[in-house]
Amino acid sequence: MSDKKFFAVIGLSSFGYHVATKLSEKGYEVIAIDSDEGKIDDISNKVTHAIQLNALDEKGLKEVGLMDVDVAIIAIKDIATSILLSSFLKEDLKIRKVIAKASDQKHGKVLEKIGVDRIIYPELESADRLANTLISPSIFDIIELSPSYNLVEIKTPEIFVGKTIEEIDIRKRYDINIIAIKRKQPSTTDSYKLSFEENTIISPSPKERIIEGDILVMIGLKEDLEKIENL
Amino acid sequence: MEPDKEKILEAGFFYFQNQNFKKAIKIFEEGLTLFPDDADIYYNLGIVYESINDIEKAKECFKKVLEIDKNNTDAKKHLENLINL
Repeated sequence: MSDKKFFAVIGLSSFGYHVATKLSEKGYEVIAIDSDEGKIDDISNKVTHAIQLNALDEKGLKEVGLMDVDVAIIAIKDIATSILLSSFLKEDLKIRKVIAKASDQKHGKVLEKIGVDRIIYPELESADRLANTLISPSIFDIIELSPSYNLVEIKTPEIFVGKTIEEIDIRKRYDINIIAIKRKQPSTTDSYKLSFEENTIISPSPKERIIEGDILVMIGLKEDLEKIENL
Repeated sequence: MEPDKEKILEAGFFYFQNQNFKKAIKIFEEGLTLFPDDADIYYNLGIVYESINDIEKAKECFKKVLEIDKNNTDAKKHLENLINL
């Protein structure tokens, strides 16, 4: 058996569909399950197995070998179905890792109580992110590179000012890479009227010192980047 | 130009050139207490704020410059850029 993780995605609305196809594109084995025939047809040539099955058909889920997957992702909107299925996968099939999408905090709390390993709030998370860029003066841009990685442009946190990249030790401490620094460099010759030039330092050296107002262009896991955004 | 104002602009210029933006801001803000409606000081303060990406404060300064001198094309240009961010 291969060392690669084996995934199941149950519920193929937009979120489930994208998770399943992305995992498959990355070379992982994926079983995609939905009760809707059209959704199964749409995904059938994009994943390892696409199976039309009701999410609460326990016998059927056992027959397709769901207990053999390493990670099951439940992307079902209906709260009752999502809860019953989560419980069945955790308690009866003993799947090692169950991840479930929650529609709101209440749904999430119940999933947490029945032992779901990770709860995702896609709508809330994307709304939070958008709101952050709109209201936080420190975030200048966010580009989603993959479901887990982002590229962000943020105004340097105060605690980095005056330190070199080496001193901040950002890669080790936060697991983040600074790929560029956007800086407005004073270029004034006339004390009457100040001016600056905009420079972008690509792949800054470890010796590069951070200056107040620098925009750091960084790549990293979303949760690691959030730590920097909140500094 | 009034000698005091010249000193303010020069001191702000010095700190700005040395990337000591906090000091430059302090100098210009103190300058505004002595010369409350001075477009040159507001303009330079706006540039310092823009340099450190304090966008809202930079916008306020350039707006103030335009209130005092509505034909100031440089302030207009900076304000338009900041609004489009």
